[in-house]
Amino acid sequence: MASNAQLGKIILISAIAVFFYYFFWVAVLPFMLIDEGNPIRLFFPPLKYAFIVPTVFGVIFLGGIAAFSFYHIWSLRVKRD
Amino acid sequence: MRICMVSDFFYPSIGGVEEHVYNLSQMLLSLGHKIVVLTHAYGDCSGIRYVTGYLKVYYLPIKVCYNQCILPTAVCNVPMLRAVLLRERVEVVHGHSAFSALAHEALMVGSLLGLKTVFTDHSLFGFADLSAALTNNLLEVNLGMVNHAICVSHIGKENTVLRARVAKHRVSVIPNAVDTALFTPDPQQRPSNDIINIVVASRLVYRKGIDLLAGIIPRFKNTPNINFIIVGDGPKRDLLEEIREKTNMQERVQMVGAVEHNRVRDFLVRGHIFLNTSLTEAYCMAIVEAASCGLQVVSTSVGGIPEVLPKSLILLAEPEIDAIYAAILIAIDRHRKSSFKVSPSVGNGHLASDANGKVKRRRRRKVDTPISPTQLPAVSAPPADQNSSTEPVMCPYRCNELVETLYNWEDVALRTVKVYDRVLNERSFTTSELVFAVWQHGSWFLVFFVVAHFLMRLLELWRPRKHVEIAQDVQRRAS
Repeated sequence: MASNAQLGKIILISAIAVFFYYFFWVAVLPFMLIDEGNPIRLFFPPLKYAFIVPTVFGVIFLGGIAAFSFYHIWSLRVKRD
Repeated sequence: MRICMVSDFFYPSIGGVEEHVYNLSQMLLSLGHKIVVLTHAYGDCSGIRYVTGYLKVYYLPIKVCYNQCILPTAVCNVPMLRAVLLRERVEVVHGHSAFSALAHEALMVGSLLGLKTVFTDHSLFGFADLSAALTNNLLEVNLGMVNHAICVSHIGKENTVLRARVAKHRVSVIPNAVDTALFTPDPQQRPSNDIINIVVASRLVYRKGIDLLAGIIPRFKNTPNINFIIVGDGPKRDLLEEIREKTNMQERVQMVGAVEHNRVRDFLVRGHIFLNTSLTEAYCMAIVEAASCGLQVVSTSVGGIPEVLPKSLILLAEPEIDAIYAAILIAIDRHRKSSFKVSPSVGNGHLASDANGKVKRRRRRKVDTPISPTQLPAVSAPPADQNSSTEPVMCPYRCNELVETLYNWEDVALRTVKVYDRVLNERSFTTSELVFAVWQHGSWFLVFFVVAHFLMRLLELWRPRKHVEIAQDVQRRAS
């Protein structure tokens, strides 16, 4: 298995790559003066997905935390009764 | 019993928390317990090191963010802390200092692992300003997950109970201790003429009341034979230097600067009076060390200071210049009366010399009897002269013995072991109870707590507990 240092490097490079990809997609591409047929657009889905996907993940994340927390609070109160 | 001490503050850094963690660990080791200390890396001091008595210290490779504290991420260090706690088979996690982010994170990890957790608070804190409100809320959340808390004074306990909203039956008071063998008096170091030295030993920052000190020093401008020795460094040093220049007291105010803790005694024994002007203190080790060296203590009456020393060793004053100045005058007056009684007699000199030699053996209590007659004349004189209740100056060696009986690390260690035994007999918190506590005290923290919880579950799948390699214990070899 790769050492922890190499694993850390992989994680770090992946995170940076994903960040720059997303940054280019959201903050640079909409302002580029290129025609519709340019091949670079093949690498990027329509812009609306750039906001739908993080929102869905965020809602699932916070919702999951809330569900987990209130389940435990509810079960604790049930035990006490 | 296997205990893990956690704090951002440990050697090579110097301070009250560092002293406490180190001395407590040494005493617990001598009682037969297994102690591990967790802290972050200090420069090139990184990795695992053994210090005196085979005390194992983990200098975790975590970077410092601000004022010797790590960046409080709450979840990034969970894997590393879990690995250390499991490898060392820790039973009790003991965090130190409300300002230590590493301690808070380790306490949370310990709770999630089902270990018992204890927290020691070393300082008082406010209620009203923004940083206090934020820190108090974080402390409240963490203390909700802790089995028991320890404070160093009753005032400290009151402060912690109020600002962290922890139930008072879960807080114990165990004061700090001082190594009286390191802080022994040496009256011969004092000036032989009738000069009186006032010693100040603290960091020169606002919280230590250096502005009060700057207001007091000029008042002795026209009083000869009163000298100051100021030990310590900090932002307010320039202010004191300026005051010294303005009042032309260069020869009478000695600015020593920063001093290693083991050299502070060399300056304490030169003094007759120790002055503490703190604006807020939970405990104040410095005045106990000064009393152990035989100095009369003059201090502001703030925080936990009134309960630190008995009245025979300390003069208390309100934290304002006039009151402190009046208390210093009383202390000087006591010294003048006392030294006047003692110094002319050559016989007394011989007696003091004999007492000096014999006290070092520290086993014959009867030797104290000859010293008592020396105090008797001083006892009767001041009340008759002044009709006041001022007490005579106590013999420096009696001061040391009194401090030794009041504060020693063995007593602190035994009381701490009682706390450990108590928390070990309690039932561990369940996940539901921890979630409920976090929800009650700070629901915003639930995000971090639940993430840490699931991270812990992932780690249990990835590196199961039963596969964790146990750390070897270094045993003292029987000599």
